[in-house]
Amino acid sequence: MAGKNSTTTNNTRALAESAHIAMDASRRANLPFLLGGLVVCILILVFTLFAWRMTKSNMHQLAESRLLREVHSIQQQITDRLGTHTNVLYGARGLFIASDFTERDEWKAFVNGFAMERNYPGVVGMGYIEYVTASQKRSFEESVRSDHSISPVGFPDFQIHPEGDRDEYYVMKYIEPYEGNEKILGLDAGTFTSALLHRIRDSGELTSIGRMDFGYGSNDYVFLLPFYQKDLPKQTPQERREAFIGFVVAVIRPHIILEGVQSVSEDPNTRFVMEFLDERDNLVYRHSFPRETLLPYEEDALVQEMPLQVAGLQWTLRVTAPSDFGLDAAAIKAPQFVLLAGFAFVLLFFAIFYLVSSSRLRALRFAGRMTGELGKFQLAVKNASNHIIITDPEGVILYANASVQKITGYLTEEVIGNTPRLWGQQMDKEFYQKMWNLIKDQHHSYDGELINKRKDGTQYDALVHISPIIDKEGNLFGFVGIEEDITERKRLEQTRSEFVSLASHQLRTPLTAMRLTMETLLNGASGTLEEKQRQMILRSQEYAVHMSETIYTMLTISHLEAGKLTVNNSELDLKKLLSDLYREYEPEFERKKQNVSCDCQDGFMFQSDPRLLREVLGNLMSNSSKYTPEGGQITVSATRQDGQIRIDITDTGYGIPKEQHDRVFGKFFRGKNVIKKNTEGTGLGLYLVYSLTTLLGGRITFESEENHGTTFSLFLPITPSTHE
Amino acid sequence: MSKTILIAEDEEFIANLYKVNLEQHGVEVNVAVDGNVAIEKMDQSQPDLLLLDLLMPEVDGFQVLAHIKEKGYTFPVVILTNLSQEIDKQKCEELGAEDYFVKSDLSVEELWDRISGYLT
Repeated sequence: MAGKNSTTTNNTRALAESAHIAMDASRRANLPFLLGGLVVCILILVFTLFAWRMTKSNMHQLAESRLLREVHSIQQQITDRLGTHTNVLYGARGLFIASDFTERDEWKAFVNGFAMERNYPGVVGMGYIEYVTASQKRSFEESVRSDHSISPVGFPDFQIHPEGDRDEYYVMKYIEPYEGNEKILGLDAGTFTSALLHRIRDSGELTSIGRMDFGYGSNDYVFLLPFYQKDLPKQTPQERREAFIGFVVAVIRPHIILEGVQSVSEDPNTRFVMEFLDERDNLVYRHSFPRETLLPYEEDALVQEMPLQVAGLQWTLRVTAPSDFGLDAAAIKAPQFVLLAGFAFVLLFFAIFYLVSSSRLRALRFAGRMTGELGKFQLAVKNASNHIIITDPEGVILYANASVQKITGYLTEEVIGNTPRLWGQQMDKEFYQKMWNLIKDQHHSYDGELINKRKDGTQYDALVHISPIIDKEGNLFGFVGIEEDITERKRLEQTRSEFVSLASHQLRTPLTAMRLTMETLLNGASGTLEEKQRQMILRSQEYAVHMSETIYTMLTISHLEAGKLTVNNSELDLKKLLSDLYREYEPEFERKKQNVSCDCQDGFMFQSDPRLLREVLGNLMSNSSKYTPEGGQITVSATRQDGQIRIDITDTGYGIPKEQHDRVFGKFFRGKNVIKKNTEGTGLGLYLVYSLTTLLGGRITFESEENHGTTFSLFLPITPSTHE
Repeated sequence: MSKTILIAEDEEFIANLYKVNLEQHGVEVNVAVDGNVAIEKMDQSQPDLLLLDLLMPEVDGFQVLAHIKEKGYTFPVVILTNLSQEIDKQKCEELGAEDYFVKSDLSVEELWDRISGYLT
C-alpha cells in the first residue's frame, strides 16, 4: 500500500514537472517568432523612411517642373505682349514712310486710331523724335511754333529744352496724348543718352532706351524705332546714319503689361512671386500671385530664373514659389501620408503580431498543458483497475489498458487488432446481436452483466459498459468498452444469499414447529389444558411470536442493506391498506383497550410500493400500540400536502426523551423510558422504517414529548423517484 | 362434500400440526412429505388448494409449481415456506403461485384467515 502511494506521488510530481517544462518550452519556442516580428517591424520602418524621402524628392521635382512651366508661360506672355505693343512702332514708322512725312494732326489721328488704352494697354504714349542739327535748330523751333494743325494758336512758346546749344538734338516733336505731356514736347532726348541713340540709329532696330522719365512716370520704358529717308540706302550703319530722320517712340508702362500675366495653373491657391530685373539686376517690377500675399519664402523655396530679351531689353525673369508649388493638396500630403501610413502599418503589424504572438503563446501553453492533461488522462486510463478498450466501428480493438491483460489473461499484443470476441462468446448469439444492434445501429450505450472467458478457459462475470463514440456529424467513430470483473463480488453475494436462506430456514423451521405445537395445545386439539399450563404456553407463544418478528425484521434489514430490496410501484389504495393494517393489529389494540381512529378519505390512491409501505406503516402502528399505555388514543391521518402524501401517526404514549431525539432512527435504538416497560423491542423497527422510507423516495420526521405522546409524519412523493 | 387441502411439507411433524388445526375448520387435509409425493397425489386427485413448501429433499416446491403449470391445473397454490428472499417470491409468482407466506410468521388461525377465501 505504501509503495503504491509513493508511486502515485512520483507520478504526480513527474506530471507537474512535465507541465512546467512544457510551459518553459512554449516560451522558448515563441522566441524566434518574436525576434522575426521585431526584424519585420524595423524593416517596415526603414522602408517607410525611404519611401518618404523618395516621395519628397519626387514632389520637389514635380514642383520644379511645374514652376518651370509657369516661368516659360510667363516669359511667353511677356514676350508676346511686349512684342505686340512695340509692333505699334512699326505701324507708326510705316505711316511716316508711306506718306513721306506726317503732319502733327495726322499723327494725332493715327495714334487715336490705335485706341491704345483698349487695344494696347501698357502703351501710355506715342511720339516722334526728330533729329535736328545745330544749324536746323532755329528753323525747327519756328516751324513747330507756327504749326496750327491741331491748335489754332499753335505752340507759341515752343523751344527745345533743356536749353543750350548742342551739335545735334533729338527733339520730341509729336507726343500723343498731348494733354498732360506738354512738358515732353520739345524735350531733347539726346541729353539723356546720346550714345545709345546713335547706336539705335545705326542699328535700325527697335530698341528700348530703358527707364526714362518722359513725364508719364518714372517707371515707364521708352522704346525707339529709327526710320530713314525712303529713297536712300540703309544697308550699313554709315548709310543709315546718313539717311536718318528720327525715331518713332512708344512709352510703355511695364506694370500694366506685367500685371496682366496669367498663371498657367488653374489652382486658385497657386502662390508665387515674379520679379523682373534689368541688366544691372535692378528690380524693375515685382508681382505676386495672388496679389495680396507678398510672402516671405522659406529656405526651401523654389527659384527659377529666365532671361527675357525683348526689344533690346536684357531682363531677367525670376520666379520664386513655395516648395510645394503647383501640387494639389493630395500630392502635398503624399510624403506625410507615406510616413503616416508607414507608421500606421508598423503599428498595425505590431498589434497583429502582438495578438498572434500572444495567442500563439497561449496556444503553445495550451498545447503544453493539454499534453500534461493528456498525460494525466492517459495515466488514469492506463492504470485503471477496470478493463478499458477502444475499438473502431467494427469492434477491432485499437487500444487496451493494462487491466485488459490482467482480467482476460490475453497479452496486449494479442488483444490489439483482435475483437472482444476473443474473451466473449459465452452468451447466446441472440444476446450479442441485440447488444450490437443497440450500440452500432442505434448509437445507444449498453450497460449490463455478462459472462466472459479468460485465456485459461475459466469463465468470469463482467459488468460491462459500452459507449459508441459519435463525432459531430453523427458518424460512428468507434466504441469505448469498460469492463469490471465482478466474479468475486458475485460469488460473495451468492454466498451471502445462500447463508441468509439457510439461516432463515434453519431458524424458522424449529420456530414454526414450536408455534404450531403451542397453538395446537392452546386450541385444545390435543386435549384440555389446566389453566396454569395454558397461561405458561400462552406466555411462551408470545416469545415465539416476538422471535419470529425479530427474525423477520433482521432478514428484511439484511436484504435492504444488501441492496436486494427493490421498489415495485403500483397503484395503491391507502384507505384499504390502513384498514388491513388495523385488522392485523386489532387484537393488540383491543387487548390494550386503545382507541384507534383513522382520518383517511375513501379512494386515497397513489403510486407506491404496497409491500414496503405496508411494512413502514405496520411498524409505526405496532410501535404506537406498544408504547402507548392502556386506554390511549392512536390517530392515523392522511392528506395531500405540497405535492406530497403526508401520513401522520399520533399516539398519546410514553414519548421519546428529548436527549434521545437525534438517535431515534439509528440501529438498535430503544427509548430509555420504555426499555423496562417493554422487553420485546429489538431497536430495529424505526431503523427499518427510516431505511424503507428513504428507499421509497420519501422522508420521515417526528415530534415527541415525554409522557405526552409522539407523532411520526411520513412524507411520500406523489410521483416517487425510483431508488436502486 | 368438504374441501380438500393438500399440504406438501417435508417436516412431517409440522405438516401434521397444520392438518390437525386446519381440519378443525371442517376441511379435509392431505399431507405429502415431498414434492414427488405431492405430484403423485394431485395427479390422482386435484385438491381445492395446495399449501406448498419450497425446500424439500427430493422434488422442491419450484419443481412442483412447474409441474402444475405444465399440467395446466387450475387449483390455487399458496406457498408456505420459511424462505423469504425476494428472488424466491418472484420466482413463485412467475410460476403461478397465488400467495406466499412465511410459516414462522403466521399462526394457523392467521393462515386460515388468509386462505379460507380460496375455498369458497
